Amino acid sequence: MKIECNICPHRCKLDEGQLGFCNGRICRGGKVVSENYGKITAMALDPIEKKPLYHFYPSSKILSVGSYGCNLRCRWCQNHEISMIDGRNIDYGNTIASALVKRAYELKDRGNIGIAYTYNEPLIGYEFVKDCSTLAKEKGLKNVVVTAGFICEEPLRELLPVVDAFNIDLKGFSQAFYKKLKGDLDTVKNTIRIASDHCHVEVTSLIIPGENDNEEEMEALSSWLSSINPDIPLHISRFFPRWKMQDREATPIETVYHLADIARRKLNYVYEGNC
Amino acid sequence: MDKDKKEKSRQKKFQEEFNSITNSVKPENQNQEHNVRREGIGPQNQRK
Repeated sequence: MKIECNICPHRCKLDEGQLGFCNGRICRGGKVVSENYGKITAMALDPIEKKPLYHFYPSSKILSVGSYGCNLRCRWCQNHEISMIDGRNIDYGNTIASALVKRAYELKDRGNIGIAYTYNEPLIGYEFVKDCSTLAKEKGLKNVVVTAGFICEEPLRELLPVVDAFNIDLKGFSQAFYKKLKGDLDTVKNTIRIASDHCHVEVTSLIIPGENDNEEEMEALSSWLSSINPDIPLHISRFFPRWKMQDREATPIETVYHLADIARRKLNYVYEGNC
Repeated sequence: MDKDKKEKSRQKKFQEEFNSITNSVKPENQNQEHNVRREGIGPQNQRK
């Protein structure tokens, strides 16, 4: 009998022992569970501005952790070594929530404010994020989630009480573009809307030449974001050729600055990234 | 070696192994080219 995963809109129907589309969830014992729970592939104490969050404890650092797997298929993924792979094909370190939180707490004297769940898509393993965030919050640490926002509403709402800030990747503003990534624009818009009702949210859009770099799309994106709150910071980032998208040049800096100017007509805080 | 020392030694070994794995992957951030001095520390220092 197949069991349906209810974490993201893919709603994978899995046989016992089968991995989901994201490579991070598995059907085990008649339930779909997080297969990457507590499995850490990367860890670094990063400046918070790298997440990027510019309006949340600026100049601080945050212990950033990643696991493996992702529920989208962006051909330009800069972390494909960990996001487009399953646990059988990558080295990881096992940890438990209390050990990670202890480590984050010990790093306070080096400027650490908490834990960022990032690098791969953290919400496919939302159980680990929730367990760590709950403990971290009890210790007075902050929790930051860097996500593509392609998640169902129910698990998202479960996380909201323990998350302090999100950076949500809005990869474009057309359904056709999201379809190429195996995603869905409306779901991501819904995530941004709900998250910004509960905690600090910043949005990042990567501008890829020939894909999502037209003025109309930026006008529509910034108008929509402004309709939620014109004070939501928008990071417009420059693309560099990565992974399977080596067939085009890096985004011209002028394009990034031009689109940022367009977004500023509607939004109060727009930043150019990677320029 | 008493039990405490053994446990500490085991934990240290585990930690070293964990670090060697999790520090070997160098993931990129969305704002990887961020310049912490210019964008982070700089503006804060300029505050009156």
